Order: sequence, then structure tokens, then C-alpha cells
Amino acid sequence: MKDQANTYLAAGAPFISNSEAQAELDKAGVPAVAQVSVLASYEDSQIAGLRTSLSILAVMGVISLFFTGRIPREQPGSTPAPA
Amino acid sequence: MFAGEVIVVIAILFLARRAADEPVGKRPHLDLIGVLVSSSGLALVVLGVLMSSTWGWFLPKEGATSFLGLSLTIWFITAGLFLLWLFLRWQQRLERTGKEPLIAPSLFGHRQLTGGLITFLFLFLIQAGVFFTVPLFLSVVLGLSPMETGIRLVPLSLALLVVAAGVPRFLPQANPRRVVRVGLLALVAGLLVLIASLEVGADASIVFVPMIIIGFGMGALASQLGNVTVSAVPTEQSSEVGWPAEHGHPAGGPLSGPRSPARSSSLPSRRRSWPGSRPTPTCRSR
Repeated sequence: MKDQANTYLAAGAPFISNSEAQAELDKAGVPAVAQVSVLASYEDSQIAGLRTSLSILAVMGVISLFFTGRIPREQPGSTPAPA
Repeated sequence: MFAGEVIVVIAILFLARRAADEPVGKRPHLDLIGVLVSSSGLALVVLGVLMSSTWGWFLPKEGATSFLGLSLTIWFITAGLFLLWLFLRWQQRLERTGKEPLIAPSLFGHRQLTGGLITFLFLFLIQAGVFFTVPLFLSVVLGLSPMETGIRLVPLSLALLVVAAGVPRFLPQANPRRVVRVGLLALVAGLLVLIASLEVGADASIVFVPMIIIGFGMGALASQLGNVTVSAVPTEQSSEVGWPAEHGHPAGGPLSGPRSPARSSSLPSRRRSWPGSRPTPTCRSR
């Protein structure tokens, strides 16, 4: 999970938890007032990233419908083969 | 955990030694050139994708090695795909000349088989995506422990198990195409519910309903796809279909029935189309 928590997204920005982000901000000496707004916008982009990923999956699901015509209507083996 | 798996595998290997092999009439010939070309092709593509975060996809990243101004990733993927194309040509040649290919390219002309495999591919893509994204939300955004995250995923696994086992049991004559379509639509619906409820300030309880819907969809697909794919070639036809089925099926060997001498003689080596791709009672497509 620790590894996943540091998953680097394609653009190279790490997907880190809020507490880690806060720790980084502390280390960088960002004042508390600014931290609040940075964290809020960070949380926004986290959610936006997750929603984007999930919508790509939903698009894939719809694309796969195009190939379902190749799947038979009867259960395999249910119709006796003609002699 | 890992040590336990190793022990299980060793036990399986040990027990498998006792399983008697089906007597083989002709000694099978392993296509070493095919092994070499296909594994290098796949390795290059996979390596290119894995290194994309270091090398960049098309334009090289700062300080990364590049060739002719392009990232190595795109070169590796292109070279790998080219090798895979060579592999395909080589396999076609082996099939045409009646030798034993690693995989018979004519299998890809079979509608039912390719339909099942493509749907499997999409199922696995979506499954991998869900099992990556949802834990990311639960453990990183919400900061849940791995155990709590796992518990939130249980509804998906339960729904999947119940549907995957229940459909063949209670609806044994279900229309596979309809079940697959319902399953895919459930996947999409579950994803949409999840997207709609994901917002800043959402808590872990929002994944409950989507997990059940997505698990239902995955279960519906799992209940049909294996059967559709493996039985793409009906056993009754095996004497006509012959060897491609044995090589193409994940489980072709044990399921395609006993070897009969009629099989090898009924399939002239120069025949290029696979007989199984003709419409048959169990492969009706429209």
C-alpha cells in the first residue's frame, strides 16, 4: 500500500495522501493559511483524477459492447449436433 | 504469504509428475524460432511501456536516453510490434506448410472464439482499473488502512461469486450473449454511479452500491466467457476441426477428446481456412 500511495502518474506528479502532502508543505515552510488552500485544491485534483480514470473504464465498457455480437445466443453444447 | 504460495506450487509440481501424459503418437516439435521472436517482441513492448515514466512516451524526458529525438519507449514498442508481426507471418507459414505453429493464426478468424477473447480482454482491463482506482481512493484519499480498504471491496467479491456461480446453476440455458451484455451494462452503470458519487468530502460508504453493481457485472461475464471461449469448437466437430483447436484452447488438450487417426487425415495441410469458422449449430452468430 505504501508503494501504491506513491504511485507516480503519467505526468510524473505523485499521487500522495493528504497527510503526506501536508508534511511536504510543512517541510517546505509553507504558512498554515496557504496550506489550507493548497490542500483543498490538491484534494480537488485527486478526485478529478479518479473520476477521469473511472470514466475511461466506463468508455471501455461501452466499446466492448460492439464485440458482443460475436457471442452465441445459445449455451455451447445445448443444441444437439445434426447427425 | 508468499512462502505459502511457493509451497503450494511445489506441491502441485510434485503431484503433477504423477499424472500420466496422454500417449503422443508423433513427437511434438517446439518452434524455437517462434519462441525467440514472440518473446523478444512481447518483452520489447512491455519494457517500453514500463519505462515510459522514465523515458517519456514520445518526446524524451529531461536527461533520458533518446534516439533520433524520440523517446526510447516509442522505438521499443515499434520494434516489438514489428517482431510480433514477423512472428505472425512465421506462424502462418508453419500452418500453411503443415508444420506445428505455436499458435495457429487461423484461430483468429473464428468469431465465437475472438468474441469471447475480446470481451475477456475488456473485462480484465476494467477489473484491473477498478481494483487500482478504488483502493487509491480508499487508502490514499481517505487514508484507510489496507485492511479497511479490503473490507470495502468485499461486496464486489461477494456479488461476483454469487452471480458467477448462480447463473449456470439457476439459468443453465441462459442466452450467453444477453448475459454478457447485461454484465457489461452493469459494469458501466456501476462505474457511472461511482463517478457520480465521487466528490470532495465523500466518505468510504459511497463505494458500497457501485461495488455490488460492478461485482454483479463481473460475475455475469465470468459465468459465460470461459464456457464460450473454451467451447468455441464443439466436441462433436473435433474430428473435422482437428489440430487448431488443440493448440488454441487454453484447455484444448484435455477437452478436445481422445485422439483419433481420422483427425489428422481429415485436415489437409494446405487448407487455409479453419472449418470451425463456418456457421454451426453451436456457433450461430446472428
